[in-house]
Amino acid sequence: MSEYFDPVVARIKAEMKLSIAAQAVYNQNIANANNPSYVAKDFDRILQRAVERQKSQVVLEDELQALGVNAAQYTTLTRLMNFKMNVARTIATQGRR
Amino acid sequence: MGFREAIGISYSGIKSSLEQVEIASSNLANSLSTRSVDGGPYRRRVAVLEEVPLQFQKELDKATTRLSGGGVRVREIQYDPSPLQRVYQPGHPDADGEGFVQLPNVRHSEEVVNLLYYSRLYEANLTAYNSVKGMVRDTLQIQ
Repeated sequence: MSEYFDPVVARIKAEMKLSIAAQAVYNQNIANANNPSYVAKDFDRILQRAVERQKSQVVLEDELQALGVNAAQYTTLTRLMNFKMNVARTIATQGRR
Repeated sequence: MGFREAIGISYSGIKSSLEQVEIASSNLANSLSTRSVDGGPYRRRVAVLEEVPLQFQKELDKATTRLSGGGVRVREIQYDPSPLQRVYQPGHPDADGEGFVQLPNVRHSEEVVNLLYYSRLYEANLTAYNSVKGMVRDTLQIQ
């Protein structure tokens, strides 16, 4: 709804969805860390699907690091969204002044 | 959105590492059992894990993809085929004619190391779980 008057909001929303999908892929890697037949995957943000990694071994530390970075990115996105919401609210309520 | 899948994946990881802890505990507890339900000494159990594929389905009318599935599960519990230990204990009721007893193929050090590893795996999955929980909380704070 709000994306019709602000393309940035639509972009933030899309990025948030991609972040959640990436999170699911990292969780999948961690869940399968002890599964020898599993090939580690990365989330491709352009193709929007999981792609198998060259180095197929899951390294727990790397996954946790990627997970942390992704979660931080998501937090940033929610802050940005809040900022945009504040702008929209200001326009809606203070516009007359 | 995908939170449900992400949480579910970590939950399956938590569950499977717990099952592996159970199996390692059973191995440790039975490391001297010379009689099992299948007859003969206890054989070391090994969990065989299986990936539950994570699927991305493109929605036709939208530019987004939908998640489904994902996670890990214990497919089956197999016996370790490695040879049993043969220890000289002539006083043991299950000793053979030469005084040797067949003991389970469980090595204490290996099981204890495995137990430590499984508890680290459990923690890693829990971290991933909490990370998604934080993301859900962040989402709810948008106002």
